[in-house]
Formats: sequence, structure tokens, C-alpha cells
Amino acid sequence: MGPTDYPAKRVLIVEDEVLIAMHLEDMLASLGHEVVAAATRIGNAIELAREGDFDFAILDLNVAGTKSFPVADILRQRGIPFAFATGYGSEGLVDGYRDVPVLEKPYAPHDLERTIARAVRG
Amino acid sequence: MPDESKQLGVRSGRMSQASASQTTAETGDEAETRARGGEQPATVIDSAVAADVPVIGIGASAGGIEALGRLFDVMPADSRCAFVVVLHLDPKRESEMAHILGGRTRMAVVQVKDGMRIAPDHVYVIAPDTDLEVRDGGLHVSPPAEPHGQRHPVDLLFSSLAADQREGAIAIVLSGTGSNGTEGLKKIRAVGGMSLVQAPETAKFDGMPRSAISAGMADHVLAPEDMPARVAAYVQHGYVAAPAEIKAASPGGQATLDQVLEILRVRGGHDFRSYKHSTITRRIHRRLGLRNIETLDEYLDELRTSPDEVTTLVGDLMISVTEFFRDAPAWAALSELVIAPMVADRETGATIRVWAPACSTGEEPYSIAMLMTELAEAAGKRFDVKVFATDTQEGNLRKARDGIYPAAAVAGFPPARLQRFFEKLDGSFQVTKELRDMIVFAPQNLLRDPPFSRLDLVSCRNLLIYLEPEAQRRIIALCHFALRQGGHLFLGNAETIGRHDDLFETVSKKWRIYRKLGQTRHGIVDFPPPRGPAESRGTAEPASLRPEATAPAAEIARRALLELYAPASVLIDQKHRVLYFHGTTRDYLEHPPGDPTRDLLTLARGGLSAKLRVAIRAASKGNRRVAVDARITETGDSVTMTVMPLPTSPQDDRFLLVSFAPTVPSPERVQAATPEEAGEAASGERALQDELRATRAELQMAIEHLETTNEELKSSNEEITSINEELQSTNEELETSKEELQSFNEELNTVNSQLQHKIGELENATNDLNNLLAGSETATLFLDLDFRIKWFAPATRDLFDFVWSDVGRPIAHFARKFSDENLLRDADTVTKKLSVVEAEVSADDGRWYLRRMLPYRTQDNRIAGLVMTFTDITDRRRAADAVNEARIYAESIVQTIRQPLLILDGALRVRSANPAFYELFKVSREETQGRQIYQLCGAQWDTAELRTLMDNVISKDEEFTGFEIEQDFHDSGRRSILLNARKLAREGGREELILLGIEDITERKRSEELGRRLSAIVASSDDAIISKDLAGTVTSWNWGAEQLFGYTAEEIVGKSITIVIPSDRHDEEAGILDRIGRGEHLQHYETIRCRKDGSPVWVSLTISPLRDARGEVVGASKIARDMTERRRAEEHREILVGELNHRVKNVMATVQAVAAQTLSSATSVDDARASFEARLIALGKAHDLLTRENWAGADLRDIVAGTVEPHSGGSNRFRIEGPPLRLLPGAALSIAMALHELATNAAKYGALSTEEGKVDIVWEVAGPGKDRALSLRWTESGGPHVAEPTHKGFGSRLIQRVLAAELSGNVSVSYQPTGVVCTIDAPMPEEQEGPNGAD
Repeated sequence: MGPTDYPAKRVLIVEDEVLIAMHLEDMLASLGHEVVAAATRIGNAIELAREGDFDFAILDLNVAGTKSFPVADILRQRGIPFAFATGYGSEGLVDGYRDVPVLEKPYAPHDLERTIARAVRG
Repeated sequence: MPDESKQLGVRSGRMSQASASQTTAETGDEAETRARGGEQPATVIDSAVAADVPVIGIGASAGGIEALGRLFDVMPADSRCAFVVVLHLDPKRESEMAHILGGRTRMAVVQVKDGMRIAPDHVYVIAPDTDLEVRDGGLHVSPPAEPHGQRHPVDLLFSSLAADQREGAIAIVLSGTGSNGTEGLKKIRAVGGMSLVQAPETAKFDGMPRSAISAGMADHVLAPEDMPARVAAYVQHGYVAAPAEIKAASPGGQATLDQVLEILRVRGGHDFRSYKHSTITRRIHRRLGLRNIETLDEYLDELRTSPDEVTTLVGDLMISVTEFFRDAPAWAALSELVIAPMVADRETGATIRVWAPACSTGEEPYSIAMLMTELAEAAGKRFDVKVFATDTQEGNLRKARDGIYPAAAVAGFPPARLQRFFEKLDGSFQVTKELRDMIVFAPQNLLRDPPFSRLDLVSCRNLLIYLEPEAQRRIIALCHFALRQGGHLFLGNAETIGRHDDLFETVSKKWRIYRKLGQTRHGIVDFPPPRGPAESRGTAEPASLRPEATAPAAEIARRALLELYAPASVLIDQKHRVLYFHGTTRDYLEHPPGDPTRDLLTLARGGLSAKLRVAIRAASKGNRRVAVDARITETGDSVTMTVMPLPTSPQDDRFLLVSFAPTVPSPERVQAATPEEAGEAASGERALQDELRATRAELQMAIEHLETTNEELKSSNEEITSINEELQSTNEELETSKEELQSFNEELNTVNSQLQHKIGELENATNDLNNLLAGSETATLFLDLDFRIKWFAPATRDLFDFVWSDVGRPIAHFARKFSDENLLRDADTVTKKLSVVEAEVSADDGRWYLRRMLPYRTQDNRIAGLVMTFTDITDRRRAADAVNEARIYAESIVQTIRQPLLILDGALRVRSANPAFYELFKVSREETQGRQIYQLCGAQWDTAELRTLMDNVISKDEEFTGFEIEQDFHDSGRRSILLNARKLAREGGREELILLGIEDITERKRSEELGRRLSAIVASSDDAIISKDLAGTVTSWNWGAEQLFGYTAEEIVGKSITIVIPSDRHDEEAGILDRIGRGEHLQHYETIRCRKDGSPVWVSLTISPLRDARGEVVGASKIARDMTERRRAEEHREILVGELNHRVKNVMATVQAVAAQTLSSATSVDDARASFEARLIALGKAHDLLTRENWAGADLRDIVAGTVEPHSGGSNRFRIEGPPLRLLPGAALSIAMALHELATNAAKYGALSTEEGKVDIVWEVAGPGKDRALSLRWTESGGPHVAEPTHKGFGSRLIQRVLAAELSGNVSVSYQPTGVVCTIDAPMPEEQEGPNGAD
């Protein structure tokens, strides 16, 4: 992966599927970002969103059967950019989040990169 | 006599020379001019310019166009006249009149515009919605002053015509309804113009003509086509064409006029000699004009031969112009200055007496009575008001007594007054009886008959102006006599009391109200003798003795000589009354104290009277001159008195002249004295002797006189005695007469009271009769033998156009409002045969009347005409018609009704049957009529049950319905028949009839059966089956609907279907109903409806229109199927598809991750492929397990066994031990992946890489509920020595991460020398079990 035109991000990932999370971590690392926190359950994710020290987040839309909008709300409040990752496509989003970038699973590293760039510039 | 005879008025400008002879300011003419106020402006002269053109005003209304056409057809186009036509036109439409009339005459016809000048040979037609007036030779149009419906445009035109054209005014009244024009004609006649009225029998609508005729305002009553000739004659006559020539036209002059008046006095009974001659002359001239007679002599002949003309002339001379409250300000003054104080002064119950002489048609006395009543009521008092209203014309009095006036006469009244004093009759108003009772109308001639007396008010208005000054003076004196002290006299605006200011004081100079001064003086009123020639009366007095101003010179000389030389003398009559004094008589005569006297003997100074008496006697006896000497006692002067009878008078009543002179010695006496002059003594003696002689002579004379006197006294005494006796006998006679008179008076009183009683009874009877006739609503009509109307009941007016003045007119002249050709013929029959004739007649308004005529019999059984009554039998006739109709109606129903009917008599035999019966039973009339019902139809009806029922119908008057019989028919098999029977209600014990109705209900039963089956289907259907009408109201609601919507049928039937429609879908229903209304069917229309509990329900609707028998759509049937479950399944499917998509993508992402990890850690492509395949297979197996359990979870043992099985290599190298534990899908997948990695690692490097190596997989579950935890150990043994790898591969990372993350537990992998040992400790709370929507 080529260098990005924005500073490296400290990233929170919320993904219940461990294999996917690991893969995401690898992709982010290869893009030069650092995963500083990961959550596989919504409770943990909310906690990390409130208190974690990061400047970008990728949220799986459906975290072990729970939608991750509460987490997104907190990120909004904190002004931290983020993107959703989902297998439903963007139609799974509710009103108010339609402008948030969406990564459609499965996604390639350059999808990830473009999405981050869009979210950051947002 | 005279009423307010408003004779000819001013002669207009061109007549000024004729009236120049009127020099005094108070002539009637000029006074009248002023009385008219400003309407006679200074432009009179101007009108003379246009006055050369005679202007003819024509008034018409309904039917007027036809009459106008007839008139103008005949009217020559070069008559030099102008015609002004006023019609009642529709105010909202343009008038075509001018156009229409233009077709009937060659004159120019124009519609009037304001300011047009009048030109000859033109016809001017009024414009719609305007008032038209003629003024100063021009036409003036103004917006109507009165609201539509109350206008009298014809009156207005005539009034202006009268004021403008004076005697040249010609007015024509043509066909029309109402009374428009009559008031205007009065004005025309008042100024001496001519009035022509269309003969009512030629008029389409005779209201206006009849009104004018009955008011006496028609100079000529003619058909329209006869009018032009009359008009032409009139305008060419001297009266109009050359009015100044009236005197010239009658060379006889005054004498001839006197002859006219004489004829009127002798034949007409009216004395017009006190009337102003100028006025009378013009009026007579007008008659000449109207009769087209040129000279007075001819007219005189006419008068002598035609009594009618005398009557007409008398009427014309006394044409009455009067109105209610004429000169309103004068009446206001009267009210304020006279009546109000009178009302204030008098106590309730006081009598107020008023006299209105010359009352004409009564408007003035009624005005006074109204004013009195109003003021008295305002003051809360009641007076006994007696108003004597007198006039000479009986006709006027009759109208006045009736008190019926046209609406125009009371137009200006305030509503309260109208309401209080008048009753409305058709188009006119009648004075209330109360007011009429207040007034006594009586004939009286003011110039001839004695007046009333003790009056409070005399209203004598506008009479004096027509009379000569002498007559005026007499009437003023008469009024003075008639009034009580302080009473008031009310004169017309142009009248004054003249020189009688000693009799009256002025109360209001402007309004001519005067108050009587002083006592009533007798002697100033001088009544002429009732009849007979009394012309010589005034000249009988010795007026010749009066000094005459214009004595000739001889007379002056004679008088001077008399003064100078004639002795003082007096002229006396036989009774010694002094008639004339000449010269200075004071030395001889002296007035004694006491009453004034003319007796000469009383007047003579002392000492003269005795001698004078003797001398007078002697002179008158001997008819010779007698002189005596006497000495005045006082002065001692000696006086010679000479008495000389005068031969002047031919009668017995001779006059004597007595002269006085101082005594001078007579020659004879001187002679006698001479011989005795010698001695004084002798002379004294002589004197004494003389005196003695004289005394003796005197004594002798005295004695003689005494004797004579005595004789005379004796004879006088005798005379007196006889007179006394005569007087006594007369007295006795008088006494007797008085007694007779008293008794007669008594008798009269009795008769009077009887009469009063009878009058009362008659009034009651009249009232009763009137009320009876009015109340019976029977139009009753009394005709005399000539079929003239004697009386009619008010109800008659529904049938004839009667007004009260029609009494006396022939019935044949009236249009009827009903068709009755035989009316007159029947009337004839009744009077000839004295029988009663009845006929039914139909009125124009559709009502029916029974016309009944019978002879009118008087009490003495004389036939005096006939009585005609009209009884309204409309109801009876209608009832009869209704009965007939009802019969036809009933019969036609029976004939046409499709239900077979039988009419049975009391013995149950068929009277009649209707066609439906014959049709149903296929029998003929002959087979049916007269048969008993049990014999009909092959005796199939002969059952005991039916017999019982029929018996009950006959005997107990019961009825039965719906008795069912099954009957076999030849052609159509078995049918069901219903029988209904009842007795027909018949009045009056007539034969009983029974109506038997038969109803074939086979078809009905069949359809009922079908209906029942269908109902059952509907009722048992699970689908909601609903019907509704086109308004959306539910009409039926089956069980399925109750189930679907939750409403019971009771709750919703009759209500709107919108109850079950969500509020946002109400529009939908309108659309559905609209489509149904057009006959469309709706199939599988899916929508949402609302249950009773508010929850929505998906339904599929199938809607079909419901049609009535005629095929009209009257509603809809609706089948609703619950679609909720299907909908839910569809939604579920959608969710599943989404979920599947999600899962697939997740799986693919997982695969991507696995591939990426595998590839990144592989040492070779083969290795990578093998590892990747193995991992995918492991993943697939775990999925298999989960899928098998429908992703609800999987048992740990199955997971373990399934995962390691590919690595067992056929032999049992795994020991798997542990209790069953259900894992959630995520946990199951993780454990499966972890075990796969462990197994792969073991196969490559661990226990499974050798033949003997084994793996123990053992787990336990410990702890209750939430604290339950899983502890699983993977222990390898028997393999090669294991060393901890230098770097962590994907496998160990995966194990650590996955398990730690997925199970929230601890995972430890240790590389024991005996083999790898992996320990998994994870909390496994029981609640985690169960369905979980894990990815």
C-alpha cells in the first residue's frame, strides 16, 4: 500500500468476527495506521468509545446482534470520524447516518483506504 | 245648500279681460287663485302661447292599448290637438307603446322626454317608471314620487293639465282597474275642463271608468270611437276657442241669464241668485260647450225641455271639491287655537256642537270629528261630540253618510289615523261607524233655511267665495247667530268676515279663524220667506222721503224755501206716530223721560196735546184742514197748530201733516175786537168772555169728545168683551190643543221609543243577517224584478266583481267569474213560474258552486225579485269524484294486479275473479263465477281447516293470512299457494263480501331456500363477507367479519364502513365506492384495515357491485381475507434475504481473512493451498453443524468430534470426554476454528505426526447458573518432542484471539515436552444459552 496523504491514525475497531478483526488490523497496519483498541461486543465498544484515545474508528454495523449506533452517537459527540463496515450494504443505515462512509464486506485494502480518507476529510 | 261648489276658476291669462270687471279684492276668482297657493305662478301668460293647442290627457291601464287603438283609429290626424297618454307601464322594461300607437294614427307618436314642448297633432306617451306633468305648455318628466303600486300617474297628469290648461283641459279615462284618474278628473272639472270616460261596457277592464262615473266626474260616457267627435266639437266651441265672446254670444245678456236662474229655481229647486254671476256665467257657458250649443237662448230652450240638463247644470254649478284636511296648516291652526283649548277646558262628558254647512261629500266634518277625537283621546277625555253636517244635495249627503272614499283621498294620512278611523274595503276606505255616528248629515240650505244654534264651532269653508257680497254678509250674520258665546268660526283661506268686525274678533288672521263677540242679536238675521215672489218687499218702505244726494236744482230750491218759510211740522200716521220731523220742532215737542216714543201726543209740550188731539180728530174725521190755538203751559206762548190730512196715500192708512206756528192775531179776531177797544174794562171783559167762549167751546168739544169717547169706549168695551170671550174660547181651545199636543207628544214619544226599539231590533236583525250571510260563506244575491242588484253578500265577490256602489245595476252587466250560460234564463223562469231553480256551475278558479234561485217574497207575499245563492260544493263534488276515482282505482288495481283475487259472497260463492286468477288456474270465467270456492280447482281447497277459517271470516269477522296449500297443477306440477281472506268493510248492512287473495309462492319458496343456503355459506365462511350500500353504510356483517375486525354485526350494521378504515385511507373508500358505482369488480385489492382494538390488519378485498332488480347498482358485497400472516411471512422472508446476504458477506469476509492469514504465513503455495483448504473445510463443517441446528447453536461434543475427525486418520487417536454443552454459533465457530488449528498443528508437528500419538480433549462444566464455567483441555501425548515455536503463527494467534474474544475466557497454550497442552477456561452462564441472534 502506498503512503497516505494524511497523518497515520490511531484506530478503534469494533468487530465481533475475530478473523475479520484480525484481517482488518493487518490491513490497517499495512496502511500505516495503528489499532489502539478493538472490541467484539457492544458494551465493551461503548466503553472504549467514551474513554479510548484514538482519532478514527471502524464500526461493524451489527455487533453480535446489536446495532452499533450507540457507539456512533458517542463518536459523533466526541467529533471523532468513523466509518461503518457492514454486510447489509448502506441500506442498513438509519436516518442520521446516511452520510457516514460505509465499507461493504468483503472489502479490499484500497476500499479501506479510500473510506478512511473520505471519513477523515468528511 | 251650497257646498264647496268649486265652480269655474280663474280664466287663465287670456281671460283677464273677462275678469277685469271684478274690481274688489275679494272676488271669488282671485281669492281662489290665492287659495291654490303657488301652483298658479306668474307664468300664466306664457301658457297662453301653447294654450292655442288643446291638450288632451288620456289615462288608461289594463286593456288600455285596445281602447287607445279604437280612439286613435277615428281621431283625425289634423285635429290641431295634442294628446298626452299615461299608462301603467312596467317600470323595468322599455315601452313599445309609442310604436304600437304609431300604427294606429298618422300623427307623430313619441315617448316623452323631459322638457319637450307640446306641438299640435302629436301623441306623447309616458316613459316607463316616470311621472309626467304638463306645465307651461311643456312636458315635464320626473322620477315617480310614490313607490310602485301606490302611484296615481293619471291623477298627476290630470291635475297638472287642469292647472295648465284650465277650462281648455280635456281628460279621457279609458279601460283600467282601480280608481286612478278619478281624483284628477275632479281637478279637471273644478277648473271647467271636460272629462270623457269610456263606457264601462266597452272597456275590457271597467274599474277606472266606473270609479270616475260613480264619483260623478264624467261629462260624457262614450265608447272610445265616439270620443274624437266630442273632443272636436268641444275645442271648436266658443267656450274654449273664444271664451271672451260669452257676452256677445248671448245678446239677451243678463236677462237671459236671469231666465236660466229662474228655471233652475223653479224646476231645480235651487236658487243661485246669490251666486256670483261671473262664475255662473262661465259654468253655464261650459255646459254650452259640452252640449255643443252656441247661444244661451238655445240653451234656455234645452233647459226648458230637458229636466236632465237642469239636474246636470245644478250639479255642475255645485261641483264639490273638497278633501280631508284641506289646507293642512289651517287645520293645524284650528287644532291648536280652537280645538285643543276646548278639549282642555271641557270636562269629560261635555257636549261639543259643531256645524259644517255646505259639507259636500263629508270630508270636512269627518276631518273635524277625527281631530276632535284624536285630541280628546290624547287628553284622556270623552266628549259628546255632535257634528251637524249639512248640504243641499242629497246625493252628496248620501256619499257622506256612506263615508267610502278612494284610497287616493286618504293617501296622505299617517298610518295611525288611517288605522283608527278607517276600514279597508277593496281599493277604498270606509270611515268607521263610530265616526259616522258622531256626525248628523242633514239637508239644509244655508241661504234659505234656519240655522242650528248654540254651536261651539262653525266651519264654513270655501263657500263665501262663490257668493255675492250681500249673501256673504247674511251668512256671516247667520253664523254669528248660530254660535254660542265665544264660539269659533272657521272660514276658507280666501274668505273674511268682511265688515262684520263688530260681530267677531280675529283669532288667526292668516288661517281665518274668528271668535264670536257679544250676545246673540236678534234682528240682524233676516230670513227670506220660504217661497213665493217677494221682490216688492224691499221697496214698500217710504224710502222716497229720504234725502237724496242727487237732487235737482228745483228740489234744492224747494228745500231751501221750506226751511225758510214752512212752519215746523211733523208727519204722522193715523195712530199719531211721528213719521217725519220738519224744521225746528223743539219749541213744541219735547221727549218725555222713559222709553223712547214716536207718539205725537206724548211728545207735545204741556198744554198742546188736548187741543191737538181734538184737531187731529176733527181733521181726520172731516178730511179737512183744522187749525187750533193753544198755549204752552210752561212759557205761556200761544201756538197755532194746523192739522192737514194728506191725500197722497191711496190706502186707508192716511198721513197727516201737523204744523206748529206762533199765534198771530187773525183778521176776524181783530175785527171782533174793534168795537170793544174803547174801554179797558170792556176789553178785559171781552177778553174774559172770549176766553169763556173758547172755554165753553172747548168744554163743549170736550163733552162731545167725552161722549164720543164714551161711546167709543162702550163699543170698545163691547168689542173687548167679545174679544175677551173669543180669547177665552180661544184659550180653551188652546188649552185643549195644548193637551192634545201633550198627548200627541206623549204618543210621539212612545212611538219614537217604539221606533227606536224597532230600529235597535232591526239593527240587530241586520247585524245577525249580515253575520249569518257573511258567516255562512254562501254567496247570496238579491235581485229585483228587473234583475238589478238589490243586495249582495260579501262572499258574492268570489263570483262577481262587485263593489257596493254596484247596487242598482243590472246583473247582466257584470262579468262572471264562473261559466253559467243559463243564469238569466233561469232567473226569468224563477220570476215567471215562482219555482226554485238549481244548477251546478263551475267557477273559473276550478271550484264548483250549487247555484240556487228562488223568488224573493216580501212579508205581504209579494214577489219582489229573486234570491240567488251560490253554495260551494267543491268539496262535495270532489268527494264524489274521489269516490268514483277510488272505485275505478280499486277496480283497475284488482284487474291489473298479478296476484289472483276472488271476491266471494256470504255463501262463499265467487262473485268475481281477476284475470290473474284465470291465468294462474287456467280456468275460464264460466267455470268460476257463481261456484263455491270448495268446488274450485278440482275441490282441492275443500279441507276442514280452510272451512273453519272461512267460517270464522264470515261469522266472527276475523281475517286470516298466509294459509298455505300444496296443490297439483296440470302443467306445472305441485305448487305452493297462500290464501289470505278478509271481510270487506261495507257500511249500512249491505251484503257481506269476502276478499280472497291467492298467492303462488312456489318461486318464492325456491328462492327462499336458495337464500337460506347462501346465507349459511356466508355465515359459515371464515372470510369476512360484508355488504354495504353506495353511501358506505354497512348492511350485513357475517361471522367471518366479526372475527376479522372484532366488531359484532349489531355494533356495525347501519354504520359507515369507514369505522374499519384507518383514517389515512378514508379516501380509498370513496374511490372504491365510485368504481363499484360504475359497476366494476375489484379483485384482490390489498390494503390495511383497522380492528376494533385499533390494531391494523392486512386484508385482501374482493368487491362486487350489488344490483337491484332493475340492474341498478345499489351497494357492494365485499369479501375481506386476512393477509396479516402472509404479510408477516413476506416480511420475514425479506429479513431473511437481508440476513443471508449479510451472512454470506460476513462469511466471505471471514474467508478473505482466512485466506489472507494463510497466505501471509505459508511457506509454499502447496502448503498455503493445503492449509487454506483445511481451514475452509473446518469452517464449513462448523457451519454444517450450525445449519443443521438452524443456527440456533451446537453441542460442544459435536463440534469437537466434527473438527478433529479429518485428523484421526481412521484410528481412534482422540479421547473426547465431557458433558453435553450447547454453544452459541459464535462460540461454536470459534472453538471449531481453534480446535482445527490445534489439530493441524498436531498433525504437522505434534502428537498426530506420529503413529502412536494421541490427543485428549476433555472438558467440564462447573458452577451453577450465572457462574457456570467451561474448562476444556487439549492434551497431546505420544508425539515427538515439542519445543515452543520461535514465532507465533496464524494458528496460535487465532486460538488466542478468537477464543479470548469470543468466549471472554482465558486460553493458554503450553509446549510441554510430552506435547502441546491447551487450556480454555470460559464463563458459560446458563442464560447465554437459548436463541441468540449471533452473526
